[in-house]
Amino acid sequence: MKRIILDYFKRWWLVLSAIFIAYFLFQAFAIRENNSQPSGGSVAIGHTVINTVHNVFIFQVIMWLGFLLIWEMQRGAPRVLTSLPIPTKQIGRAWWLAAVAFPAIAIGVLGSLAILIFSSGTNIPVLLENYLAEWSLIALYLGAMFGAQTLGTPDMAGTLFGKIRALLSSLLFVIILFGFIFNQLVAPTLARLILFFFAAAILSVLGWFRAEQMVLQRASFRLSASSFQKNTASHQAPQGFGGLPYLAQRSFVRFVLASLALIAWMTFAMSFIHVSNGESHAQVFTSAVNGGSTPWFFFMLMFSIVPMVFQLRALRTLPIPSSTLAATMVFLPIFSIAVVGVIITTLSVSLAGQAVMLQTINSFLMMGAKVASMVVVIVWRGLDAVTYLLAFLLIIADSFISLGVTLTFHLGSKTPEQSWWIPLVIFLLSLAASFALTQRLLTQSSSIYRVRTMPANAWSMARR
Amino acid sequence: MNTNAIEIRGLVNNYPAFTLGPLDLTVPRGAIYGLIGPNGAGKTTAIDLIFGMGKNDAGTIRVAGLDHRADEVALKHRAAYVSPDLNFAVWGKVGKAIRFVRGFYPKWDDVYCAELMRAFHLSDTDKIATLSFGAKTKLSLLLALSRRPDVLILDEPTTGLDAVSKQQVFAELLKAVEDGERTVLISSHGLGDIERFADHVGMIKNGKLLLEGRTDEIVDRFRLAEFFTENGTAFPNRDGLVILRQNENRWHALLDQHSGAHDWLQTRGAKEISLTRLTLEDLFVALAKDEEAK
Repeated sequence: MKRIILDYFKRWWLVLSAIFIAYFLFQAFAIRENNSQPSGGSVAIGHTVINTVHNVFIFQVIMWLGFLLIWEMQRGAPRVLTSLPIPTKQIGRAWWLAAVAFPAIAIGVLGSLAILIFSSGTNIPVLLENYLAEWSLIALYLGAMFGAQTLGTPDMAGTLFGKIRALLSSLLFVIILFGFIFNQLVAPTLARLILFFFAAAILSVLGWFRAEQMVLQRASFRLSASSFQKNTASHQAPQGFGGLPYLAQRSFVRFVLASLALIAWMTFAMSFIHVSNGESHAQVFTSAVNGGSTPWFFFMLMFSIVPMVFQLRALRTLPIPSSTLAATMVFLPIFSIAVVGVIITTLSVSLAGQAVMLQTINSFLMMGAKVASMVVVIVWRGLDAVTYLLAFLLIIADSFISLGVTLTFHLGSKTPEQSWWIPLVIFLLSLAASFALTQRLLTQSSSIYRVRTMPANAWSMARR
Repeated sequence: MNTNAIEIRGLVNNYPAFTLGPLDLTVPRGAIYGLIGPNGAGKTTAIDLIFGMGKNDAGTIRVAGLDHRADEVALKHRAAYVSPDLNFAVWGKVGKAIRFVRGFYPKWDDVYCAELMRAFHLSDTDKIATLSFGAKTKLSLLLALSRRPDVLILDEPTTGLDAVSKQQVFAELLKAVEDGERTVLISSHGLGDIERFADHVGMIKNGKLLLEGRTDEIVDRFRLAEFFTENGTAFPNRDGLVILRQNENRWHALLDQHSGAHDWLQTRGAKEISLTRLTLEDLFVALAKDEEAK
């Protein structure tokens, strides 16, 4: 068990270090800002900074920490580990400790340290007491994400029961994620906190007991599913177009529908929060787009870019020029984002007015920039720790840019809405760089075509 | 008209810990060419370069008279690649992968595709991720053969295949080249299969071609020589002679019959020289050992 845990930390130390350092720094910054609250006209800006640090930075750091296990599973580690002479139960529980318990403890220690060091000795007991609630939420979020993984069974058999089960397990992730977002953004009521804590605690405990099942499912998914296969050969000549248009259609339709569903859910959740707080429709849409950007970004990586990179070797043997292949890989996700962006912007303007238009467009431009940048990173590195780290740093950079733009234009004579050109320039530069670098990798590198992942990794792709 | 399907000339590709080449390789049109070599010899690297997976530092590659860089798309219309490494699992089902690949090839043969599906026991509704390793290779072969390519390049296609499946795969390959127009380049560790099915063979080690030619000629050319000495004479390796082992006065060596090594042995006092026919595998092991010793 000890070796499995150490192996996990050895492989992910770079990512975990970055996450923990970022968490500590953001906590420290929020506490210091809170202590040295300026007076007069700057109070509002100070509050904006603290809220942004809490609601955007810390929140995204923790969310990214929770996604790490999903990433790890995609790399096919269970199949490798089950071949080692260790009981599967121990492998599963070692993972629980490595992905839930130890990170939660580390976060708790770092958060408490930040309070002790940066609170200037005032109100330490109160701050620690408040922090305990925040930390419990984080720990339970990590536990619940693990628990949901143990319930997520790939639907290989194609039975109705299997499909329903797969759908419910996917929904569970969404519910946990938004339960976490909800509790982060809204001042907690006792009843709501108890409800979330109770559900998350059950999932966390369930995760501990079902960890073995999770390892077995991921390690043996193909064999268990093979028994359902019929041994009758049949083939009908396909109707309709194939080739790249078919790839584009499949990727585009799935992505746009899933994205719209995700944003619709976010809007629903945010409207519930903001309307209950007596805030405007504009606030609802802005929060929906901003709050959902991290899970949407992760979703984009896993379900739009990674599947294309998995089949890169096959794609390269097809009669397509490298420039067309690079363009498909970079522009297809961007086109999907653009379509979602147009739909959401149109809807938000019609419901909340012109005020939200530029901010919504900016969010989509920054999402496009992040996704375009990640295409080249995933082609270059595959699903490794550096990829995960760079994705995390991109999220943080995006938040910094947004915060910087907001503060700069608040303090200056212009409004944040007039800063539209900054995201546009970043987006265009990212797009051009990503296309050029991806094409260069496709033609110059041989290592990107070597299999860098286990075949078992594709379980969630095959489910689609 | 060019009589060679594949011509590789002076191919060099440098990596931090490995250099491929300079490599010259000629695959005649209509041949089944077996490219053999130990792990890490550079077989996959060479094949990858044909399909533009990486950039060669020097040399040229021509397939069906087309340059692998300048005529990349035309080349890939005429050549197909098969490997267990090709991942089609993201398409979910076999039928969807077929639809996708079919879209690139106007000459796609639906009837042949259906025939191959039956031969390989594959179905449109089969989930690719749940297929066995061997079945995935068969799918890869099906997707390549159905486009009726002029040149078929297979990288370790028999890996993970049982004996029956292996026979099926080779039967389909033989069918594909029976008109004498199609060419197959096959890289494999299954030397028995290569000896049976390939009419040409190329042996590669440490990125360099050791030997190339017709399989029967190569197998005929080399012999396992067993001989004895009386006076303790030492026999070093020389051109056409690779000493494999020595047990007191008894020697075993790989002998190239075209090299004059047989006469040389006699002049050096070797007695009772007996020559035994080698299998391709024996020959490969002996040459690989010699190369390692060098």
